[in-house]
Amino acid sequence: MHIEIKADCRRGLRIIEEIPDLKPGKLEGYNGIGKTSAIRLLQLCTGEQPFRGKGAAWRSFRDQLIEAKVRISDLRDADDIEWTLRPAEWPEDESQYPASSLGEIRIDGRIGTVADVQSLLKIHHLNTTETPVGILTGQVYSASSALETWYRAEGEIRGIAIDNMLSKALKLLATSSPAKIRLAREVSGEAKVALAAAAERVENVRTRVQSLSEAVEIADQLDTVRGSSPQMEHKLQELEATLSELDGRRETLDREIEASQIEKHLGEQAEEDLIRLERLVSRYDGALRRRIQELEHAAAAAKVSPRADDVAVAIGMLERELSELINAQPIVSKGPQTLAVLDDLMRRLDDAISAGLSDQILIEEASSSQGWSVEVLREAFRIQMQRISEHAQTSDAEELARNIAAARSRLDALARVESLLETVSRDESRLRNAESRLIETATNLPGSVGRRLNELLRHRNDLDNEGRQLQSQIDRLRAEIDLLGGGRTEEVLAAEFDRLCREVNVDPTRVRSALERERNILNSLTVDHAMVQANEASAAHDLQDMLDAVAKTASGISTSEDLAWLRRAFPQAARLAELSLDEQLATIQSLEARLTDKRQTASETLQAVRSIGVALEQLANGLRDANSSDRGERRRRGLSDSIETQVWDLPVRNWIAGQARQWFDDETMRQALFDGGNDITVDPQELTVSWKLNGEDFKRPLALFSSGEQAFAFTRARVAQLDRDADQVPNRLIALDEFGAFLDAERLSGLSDYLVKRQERIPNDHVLVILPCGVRPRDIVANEEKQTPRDAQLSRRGYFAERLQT
Amino acid sequence: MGIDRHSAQRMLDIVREVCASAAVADSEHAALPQMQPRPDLNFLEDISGNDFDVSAVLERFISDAHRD
Repeated sequence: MHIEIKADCRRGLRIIEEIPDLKPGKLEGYNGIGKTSAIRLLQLCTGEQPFRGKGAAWRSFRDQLIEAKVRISDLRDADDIEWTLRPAEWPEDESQYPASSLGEIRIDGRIGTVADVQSLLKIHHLNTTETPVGILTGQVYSASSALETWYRAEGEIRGIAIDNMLSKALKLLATSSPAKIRLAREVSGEAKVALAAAAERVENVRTRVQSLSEAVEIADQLDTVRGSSPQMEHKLQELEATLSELDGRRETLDREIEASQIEKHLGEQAEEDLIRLERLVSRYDGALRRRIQELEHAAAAAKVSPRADDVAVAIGMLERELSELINAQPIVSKGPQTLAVLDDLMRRLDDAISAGLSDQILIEEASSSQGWSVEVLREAFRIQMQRISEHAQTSDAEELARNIAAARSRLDALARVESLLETVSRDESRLRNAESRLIETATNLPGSVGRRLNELLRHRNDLDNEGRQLQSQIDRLRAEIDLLGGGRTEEVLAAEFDRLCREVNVDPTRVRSALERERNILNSLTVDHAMVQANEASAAHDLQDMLDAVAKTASGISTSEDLAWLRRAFPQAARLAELSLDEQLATIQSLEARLTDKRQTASETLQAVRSIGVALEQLANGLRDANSSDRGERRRRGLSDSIETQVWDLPVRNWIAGQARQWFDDETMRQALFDGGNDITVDPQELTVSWKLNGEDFKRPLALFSSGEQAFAFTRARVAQLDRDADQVPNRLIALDEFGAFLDAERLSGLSDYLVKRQERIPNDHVLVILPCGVRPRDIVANEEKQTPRDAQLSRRGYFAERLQT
Repeated sequence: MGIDRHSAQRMLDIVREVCASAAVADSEHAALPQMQPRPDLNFLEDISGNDFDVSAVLERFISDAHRD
């Protein structure tokens, strides 16, 4: 291959301009002329990094090379490759090369890539002064570079893409965590049981409160009956006696009226009229008395005097009272539930305050710049709870209901009294009319008979009126006596009281305190019940939310375009939406476990690549200079002695030991380095080599394989190893630098002979030996015409190239 | 600049060889604590493939029929 280089350099960097197509070639030149730099530049052109682990040298080379054009022609499988290199775009960190653009590459005139170049060309730069450990170090650096380069260029990005996809699927699955749903089911079930138990406790206590209330009411009635009944009975007897005496007088009067009518021989017509009117008066009087009796009973029941004004006032007051009671009902009856809601909200706000969110605005007010912060809202809830607690005891709710029922009942009774008052008024009016007509008829009778009868009738009317009033008082008193015990006698009341006390198992003397205590318990239980009810509703709501989430997850997994890969990989996922809930949960759990496991594996795999790369670099640094402090270098590059890296230390040492063992366990190498010894082993920890020779064991650190003779043998062995052609590329340049540095003339001749013959065996390799010029400039003939071609080249460009001769 | 396939293959070869060495290290140092989890070489091969398709890689990776 023919190589041309046009390098624009500054400061001290120089690079030779041509390597002719001479196989095998020899390139001899003055020191500093740029022979080695040319080989390194060619390595860079193929994407390799010859400065691996030599950061300072790299930065110097990069800075001094402004631009370079390289052309290689006479190739196999291609006519030529051209590079226009732009070092300014190369990374400062040698380990980053070739992460960014080298410059422009053209293969046979078409734009190509580094990969295209690597499929065509390989540059081997064998420095004959290099020791085995130096070469191994290069191999380790190269391996580290391969891993890091791949990780940076592809691994990290692809790993993130994989992780994002897995994360998306896992996020969807996580919204339907089977564990959470099972827990929610359990919580909801327990909440239902707790609610039933709380309801039962409330009902039991409520029944006891009702019984005790009834017992207390009966006790009150008993007290009234026992305290008031005797006086009232006595009064009743007096009234009845007066009425009886009045009835006696009336009967006498009736007889007088009848006698008067007979004595005076009334006409037939007059007699008929009087009889009819008297019957009418009598009937009306009877009707009025019954109405008055009804009225008195109704008035007693309604606890009002049977007067229209009083009844109207009582109705007005009761209607207002009923209205207030009805208005108070919502706040009282819903008090426990409201308290439960407020209590729940306050607990949430307490959590928020504990989390440092006191000043966080929860509700913005459109009309004001201020809003409701967590703390302000909590205080508002606290005040409201206090207010409700003060006005809405649980037992109040029941008492309120009773009061409303009682007020309605009394209102009905008052309405009946009002109605009866009107009826009585009408009946009175009717009676008065009938009486007036009777008196008028009597008055119209002739002479003294009429006057006498008139007086008798008026007198009887007065007695009737007085009798009705007495009867009214008696009726009223009887009604009141009846109502003292709710229509029951003292004996009946006492028996009922005893039964109730036995039923609630309370001493009859302690019913009132027992009622108070049970009411307090009922209050507490009702509040508890409301809270349990709220919890049950909340748990049911949470469960439903989760079930909705499962349905959503199932739908998403079954249909989402983004998750088609999951359905292909896991066919059951495609049918997820059709499965029963338990089957869905089992599938989701299985999917979640698998994706989590695979996500971990993916992460660990990529982390392992990175860790192996770092472990390799650390090993290379250690090999390069056991005394150097590589920690600073690693820190500079963001590497660390992580556990992950440490655990790969031994494997990478084993790996390089294996590489070295294979390398050394080669006939050529064994002859070159171990005098033909065998059973070669490499200790990965100590990096020492052991072998057997003539039955004797030998052991030596790798670093000690560095004598001149060994270097020669080693170099020859390395070239021989290249015969295996592991590169599999059509064009190879094998440059042996510092050729002959440790060799005497005889060995140099022997090695040259080997290389010439090798070139014949492997014509596709271009072997190039590079060595310092043995001719001093002053020894070159000044006259160009008399110069040999070699001197002419030396004179013109500081080096000469020619075919290597045996 | 993307990675070339030759470099990706070299990465894979090195990881495989180091993992093989790790297996040797494990067998020789059985008393030592368990090594770091091994990379999934099939997955690594998939993810470093020439025509990287995240869905296709994931499908193989998650599938029961995955080569593990």
